[in-house]
Amino acid sequence: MKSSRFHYRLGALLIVLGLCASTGGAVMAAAASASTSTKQIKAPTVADADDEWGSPTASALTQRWADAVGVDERDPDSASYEALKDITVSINQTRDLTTQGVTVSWSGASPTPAGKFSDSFFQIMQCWGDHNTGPTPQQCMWGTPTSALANMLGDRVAARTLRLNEDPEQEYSEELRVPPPITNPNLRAYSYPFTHVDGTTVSDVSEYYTSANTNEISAARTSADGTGTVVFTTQNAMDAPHLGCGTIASACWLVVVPRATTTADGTAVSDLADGMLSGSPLSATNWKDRLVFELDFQSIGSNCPLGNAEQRLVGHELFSEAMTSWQSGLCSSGTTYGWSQIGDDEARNQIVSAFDGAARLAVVSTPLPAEQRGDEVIRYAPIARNSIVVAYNIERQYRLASERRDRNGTLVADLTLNARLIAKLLTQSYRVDVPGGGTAPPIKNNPYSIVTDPEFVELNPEFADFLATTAPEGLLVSLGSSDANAQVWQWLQADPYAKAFLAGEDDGYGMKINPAYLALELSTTPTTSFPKADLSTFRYNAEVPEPGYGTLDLRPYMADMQEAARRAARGESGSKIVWDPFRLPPSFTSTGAQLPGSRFQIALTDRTSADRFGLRTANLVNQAGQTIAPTANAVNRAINAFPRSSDDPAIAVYDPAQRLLGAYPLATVSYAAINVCSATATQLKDYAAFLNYAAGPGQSPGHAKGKLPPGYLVLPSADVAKLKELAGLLTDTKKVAQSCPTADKPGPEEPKKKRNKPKKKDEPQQDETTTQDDTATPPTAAPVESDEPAEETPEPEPEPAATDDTIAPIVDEIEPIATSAANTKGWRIGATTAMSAGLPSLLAGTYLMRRSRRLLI
Amino acid sequence: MSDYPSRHKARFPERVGRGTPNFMSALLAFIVVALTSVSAAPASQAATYVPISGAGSSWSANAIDQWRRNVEQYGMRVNYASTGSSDGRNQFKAGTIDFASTEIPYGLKDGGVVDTPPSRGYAYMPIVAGGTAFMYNLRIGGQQVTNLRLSGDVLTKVFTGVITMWNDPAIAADNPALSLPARKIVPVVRSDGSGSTAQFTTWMASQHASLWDSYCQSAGRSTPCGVTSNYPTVAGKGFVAQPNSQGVAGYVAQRANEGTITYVEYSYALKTGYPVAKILNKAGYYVEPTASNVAVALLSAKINTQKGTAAYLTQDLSGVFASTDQRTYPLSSYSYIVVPTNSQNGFTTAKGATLGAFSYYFLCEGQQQAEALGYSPLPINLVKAGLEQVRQIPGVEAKSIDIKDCNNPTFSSDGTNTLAKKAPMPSECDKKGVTQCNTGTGGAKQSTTSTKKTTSDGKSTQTGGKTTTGDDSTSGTTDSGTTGTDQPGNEDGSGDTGDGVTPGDEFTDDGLAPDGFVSDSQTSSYGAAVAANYGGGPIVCEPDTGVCTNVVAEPMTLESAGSQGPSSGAWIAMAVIVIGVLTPALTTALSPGKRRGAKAS
Repeated sequence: MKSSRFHYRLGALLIVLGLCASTGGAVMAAAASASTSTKQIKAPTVADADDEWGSPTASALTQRWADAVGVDERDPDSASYEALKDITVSINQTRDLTTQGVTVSWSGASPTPAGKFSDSFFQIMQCWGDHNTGPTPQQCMWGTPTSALANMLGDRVAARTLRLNEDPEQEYSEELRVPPPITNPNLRAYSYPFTHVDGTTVSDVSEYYTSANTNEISAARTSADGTGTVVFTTQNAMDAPHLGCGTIASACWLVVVPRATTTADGTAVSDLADGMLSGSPLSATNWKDRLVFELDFQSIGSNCPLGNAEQRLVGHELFSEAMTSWQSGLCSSGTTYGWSQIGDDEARNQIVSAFDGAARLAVVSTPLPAEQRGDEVIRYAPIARNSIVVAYNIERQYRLASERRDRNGTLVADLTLNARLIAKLLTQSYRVDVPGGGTAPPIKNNPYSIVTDPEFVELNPEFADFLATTAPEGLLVSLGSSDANAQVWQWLQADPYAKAFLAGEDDGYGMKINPAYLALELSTTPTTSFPKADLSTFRYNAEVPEPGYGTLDLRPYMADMQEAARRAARGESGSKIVWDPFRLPPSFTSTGAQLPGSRFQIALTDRTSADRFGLRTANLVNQAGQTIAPTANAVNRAINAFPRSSDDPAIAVYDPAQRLLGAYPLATVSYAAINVCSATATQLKDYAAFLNYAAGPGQSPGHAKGKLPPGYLVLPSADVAKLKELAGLLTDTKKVAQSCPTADKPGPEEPKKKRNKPKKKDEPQQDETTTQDDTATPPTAAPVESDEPAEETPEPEPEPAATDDTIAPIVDEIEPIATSAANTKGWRIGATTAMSAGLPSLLAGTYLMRRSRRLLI
Repeated sequence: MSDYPSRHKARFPERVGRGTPNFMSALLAFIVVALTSVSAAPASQAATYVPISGAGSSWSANAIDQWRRNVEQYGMRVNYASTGSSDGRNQFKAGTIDFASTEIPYGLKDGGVVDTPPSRGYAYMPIVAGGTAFMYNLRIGGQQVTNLRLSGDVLTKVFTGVITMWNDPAIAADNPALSLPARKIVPVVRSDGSGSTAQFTTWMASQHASLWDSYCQSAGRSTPCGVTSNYPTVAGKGFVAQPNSQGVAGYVAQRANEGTITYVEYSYALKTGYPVAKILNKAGYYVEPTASNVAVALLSAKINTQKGTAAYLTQDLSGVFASTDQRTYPLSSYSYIVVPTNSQNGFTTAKGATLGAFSYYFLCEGQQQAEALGYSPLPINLVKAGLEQVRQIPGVEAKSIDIKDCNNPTFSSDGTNTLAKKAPMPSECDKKGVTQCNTGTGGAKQSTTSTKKTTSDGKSTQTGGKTTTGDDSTSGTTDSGTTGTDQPGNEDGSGDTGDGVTPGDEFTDDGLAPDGFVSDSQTSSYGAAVAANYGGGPIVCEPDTGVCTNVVAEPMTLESAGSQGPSSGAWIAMAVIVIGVLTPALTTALSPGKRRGAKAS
């Protein structure tokens, strides 16, 4: 018995291993094919201009309503049968779930009437329940809509409450009886209580969930073609302990209740006084029409034990999601890691600063400039690949006259932006982004919003039909300075159209930059943050005190990119422009979240955050003039061609001047930068373990703790090798000592002289890659040249040699791309090796598991 | 000390595959790693937690946000909305959140209205210390000023509309080396109910009462004005009101918003890369709210130690304002969270368990992050009191934490505040007088401001590409400019260390010059601050980094580099052995296992 358990476990491991290796191999194979296909790309737009949003996984599940499993057979005589019989519902993932977005889509349904939720909509909820019999209404997280949402829907449609005798099938038992409302003390009130997974039953669910943290979808629309799509956020036991998903306590379910055009007693909506469908989906007749999908959650797993000292690392936000996930995997090694998300600059400062307890490992995008580095020896290894994306949550709001009006309220599925459009959004150049609506020239002559901008409509013809008053609540951007923000500006400044716009020229349609931003000289000045520079204020009327609301009330900053994505998903930018004189103190307040069906948000965020909140990502027009989605291929392609940094040739950094077919323009790389000589021995060991984790288990993609969160790209083998090499260096005391200038070494003055010394060996390389770009790397360009005479006595011998080795592969990769003849040998070898090892272990693993399972039974 | 060996558990296998071309051995290593971690997993299985949510202070939000991110690895989900202290207190009172974060307690009279305490049971718990900083945006001839200094009187006049121009003689007197521009000062204040405002007005009401009262009066408030969460504004004075700390910091951090100055927690200046004004303390030095200067200042804070009273643990900062230590940052204070002490308003014991565990985390380990983020770690007395408060939370899994294991950077074995003890003395150029340091502050620490009077110095600081378009153009990566200036001796980043204060010197400084400091803390009547012992404690300085540490407080740094040689060799050897042993073990485990299994079936 024991051995079969062992087999089972080994089998599981092998499967995991096999999956990792095969996935890695597949990715590498894909990379190989991507690089070989360079030559074939000729057309100005590429075919893969679609994002990877909502694509089905191996555990996708589709059910037809008419013969759905887990529910009673449908009754052809029921009032709703005709309306529902052709419905098919799909979920793109039902296994290995955690708290994440899954896509629920359907077809064959009756369209939801335009402009309202009167009937024919879908209701979706997460429940716990018996593995065999499925969930009961009491086991479902349901019934806490926001009041705005509840007002949009018919009576009790989003609630748990029942009305006596409204449903002939419903049994109004004493268990469902609740105290009557104060307003109507004689009412015999009924409501489904909620049963916690631990067995506790309550009639007031607020102890467990409220509108702030429920994941229920009160109503989702079906468009004219009978299809609909919605992102449902599954919650594991960490977020919804009352459902217990991911613990052994319960099986979990997704319940979809399609609503037709009749109430529970068969009355047609058209016969109702208000014309709105009424009644809870939990009421027996409605509940009968449900579809159930069993959800298999990943085990919540083991948490790190609380109370250990943390080895703290610092770095930029682009790495935070990966770190948060890896922390849970790392602590089983014996060291618990802490993480402080700070700006790149602060992070670079910290690893060379002297304060006690400073981290010596920072995760940043660009290396320390020579002046900042001083005498310190910094080693780098690439640790994460991601990209900045423009994520959006836009629901169609067509004009009355539009032929497509029946698709109103459904999600826009394709959006394309170019650099100049982003520049317009970032500079409050649309009237809607200016307090008071931009009534003064020259903004007065600009389009009201991006929707009415001809340049935007040309790229996105669908928006020609949009209501002219629709607009995003600005482009949601975060506060603070970072390399990622700098990269966005570099991209805009390298784009001739965006640059000209930022410099004050019109866009060919007569639109000009908001003059408040003209003074900032954004077309040339290196910028690391997103200014909100329009100082104008606005008052609706004399009741509002001077000066009224300003830009930061209208378009507030987000704390970070994750918040930007979260707010975009909720349709709530935090804009506060409604004066409330009854507040203490009287102040501007928010109008609340945008209502379902009229959400319009665009956010500057990263791939991971967009994925977490189920946001779609916009295509961008890259430097080569192609429309490119931030697909794994396009991002990798850009990163593989990054030129080496002038500050440290060991690492490759973003170059806005690069024109590369098929490359996404805002790809990002995160580097682990380690101040090798200032770190204590314990730090070095912990850092090495961290890097090894990043190179190993940390590269296995998945939502689960410890894995590489979706949105990050799996590192290519060359990067993994660099991580391992650096980890190896850190654990080798001799090598560390060798690379550190100490008293017995040639002399401490020598490295000091080195400070501004030119990096001779990489100069030619640098010239090739950064010739046109003199604005992007000004800081060192000048000093490097002027300090020419400094004598070249490089750092201690063995290490530079090692670094050179790591550089070599980059050169190999860059050159072929420049000549459009990619060297794919490395990829192919990697792919073959990984897959040849991965597939057998996958098979062996499956076999072992199956076998042992049989034995266990 | 005791956890040292455990740090290396299961580390060795990872080394095996490194540099090995043979894929199979790497594969094996991977399997070993995976096995080890799987078998280790049950051991680290910890309690499960339910999500909790809080709201309030944006002053402390940068710290809370980092903590809640870090406790995800312990299985906790903590939601926090930075909506302002007043909103936090109101929401807690209304029962919509599980905890609130605030800088001031309930029960204060504000604008004639008393902020009544909630009916649900509650207690205050200190969470982090920090300095309310004065972040500004000012240029001289296109170059950003990063070394502005202000005395308390001038600061109050700026925020009460008495001084309206940057070239006011009073500001010039504080800044002998700057030729200040004839530009209007734009004070940026909070438009929402805010703990930052409360802290700042507490200081003004205490130190510059007449200026503050006359301003309040002109804004239509009754006097004495006292502390308020809602900054009064007078139409036509040119003040700008913005919501939230992000709002005021974001407003000042606009290149175009020259002339602005705001009060905001120091971390926001670091985040946005803007400088903060050095504020004159009672000892006659202009200081910056670095972690150590705040720690020194708060040694003089009086904490209400009367258990059982509702205001237990709330602060009386008048001692801080008056502290005569040269390093004191006068506007230092603590932030608190309000925790429930009974199960009401949907606060279950399960939530209490999470809140308790979260509290244990941030009172101890979480304080490690404080300095990096722009805060200052809590001193030992407040941590101890905080740990006591945790026990009042219903459902908490009470722990008796040995304060030594708390891993707070301010703790030392002898009861002194390590951080305060090691705090560097201000540089002489920070002394009130004719000199003025040219080093940067806050988030613009690395840039310097050329000074008109120190010519030789001025020359040297203008190297590295300082141009008239301002420091933004000197760097491709930073807003505030990591410039190429060569600042001997003060690049260590530990705050406002001045010329000649190198890390290695700190201890001699501290050992010799704390006289005024010791007597000061001895006068503290509440006994909150333990008298510092400057002579004691073995101190080890690492030769290669110059970083000195107190042996007892930081045992981890004791390892000598020499001991690593054999141990790393030992790891390799152990790894080889493990592979040697495990490989056959694995294979044998596989084959007989199958046979047995076959029989069984």
